[in-house]
Amino acid sequence: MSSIRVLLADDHAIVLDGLRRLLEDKPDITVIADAADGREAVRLAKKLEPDVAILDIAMPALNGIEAAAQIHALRPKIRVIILSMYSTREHIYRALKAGAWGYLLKESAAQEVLKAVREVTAGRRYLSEKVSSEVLDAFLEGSDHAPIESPLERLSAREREILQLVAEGRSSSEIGKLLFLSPKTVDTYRSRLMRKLGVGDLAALVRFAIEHGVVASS
Amino acid sequence: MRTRKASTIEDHLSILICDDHEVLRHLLRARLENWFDGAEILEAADGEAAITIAAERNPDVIIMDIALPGMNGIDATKAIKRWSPDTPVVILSVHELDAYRDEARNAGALHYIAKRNMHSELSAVLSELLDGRTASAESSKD
Repeated sequence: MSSIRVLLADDHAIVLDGLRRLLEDKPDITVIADAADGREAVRLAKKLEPDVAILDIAMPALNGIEAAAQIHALRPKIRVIILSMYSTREHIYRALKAGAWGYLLKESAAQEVLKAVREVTAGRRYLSEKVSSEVLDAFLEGSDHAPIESPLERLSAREREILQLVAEGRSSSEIGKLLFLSPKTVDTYRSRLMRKLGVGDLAALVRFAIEHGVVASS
Repeated sequence: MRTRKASTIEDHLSILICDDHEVLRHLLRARLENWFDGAEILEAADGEAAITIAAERNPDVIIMDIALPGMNGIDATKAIKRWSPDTPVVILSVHELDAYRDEARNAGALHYIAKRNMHSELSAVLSELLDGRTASAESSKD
């Protein structure tokens, strides 16, 4: 049986080291590459076509959920697992909607990551226990409550990318270079997404991005 | 208030790791077990748990993250230092701004290591704090 080829993405080198250590001594798993941000993860996923991609939810330049959506669109056979500190319905919902097959909480990731990799490879979803409970609760409450949604859904994928880059403090010129757009086009996107979100200034936009996990608070 | 226990080579060395990321605790545990043969490695996933374990087990050194769920690592350090002022606390954080270093120092932390420098700095810092009770030759490789 060929081994499961895994791509890792996390902006913290020691977490990558830790994940490698957990996965590499297993004969059925090979870590083929790692990435330090979401953009690199998408590029490597497209090029190397791993069986599984484990993505940290909070990465610079492109967060794990947006990276998952791009990987899912480009290479739908790749099973994406999101590694997250959030157990809120909004984050879980967005990750699953982006095409993730697994959602692991950092608090239990060392114990669960092997099982998660094997389960998603076998075509089954894997959610940390706390996440499963949250999903089940949301399902059971579904008939009495409004469906789970995120205000981020008002934005296009491109607008969400630009939201993250603006909230990270990058200039329109920097964002333009990264996305192959003119600074003027970036400004247009920025005005449009602020209007859609109903925020009036940059500080409010950054607060929104942090509250909804588009960027990490630190 | 508790004072440090007398330290000899024969003492049973204990080190408390406080970090909410289980993968990171796993990695640190492996490193520490490699560096300090036979040491007891204790783990806490948040500040409150670190305070409780520190009070109950009086570890020789505490390695503390800053960004933790609930009480952060700075406040946990302050609480631990009130109870046990001689226990050395090493902050291990992704934050690299001087403001965080100052806060950590004011809280009573003896050292501050950026997580990206963990491999190069942690072994030397622990060696110094633990009176040279290190560290196998492996430590220099990491």
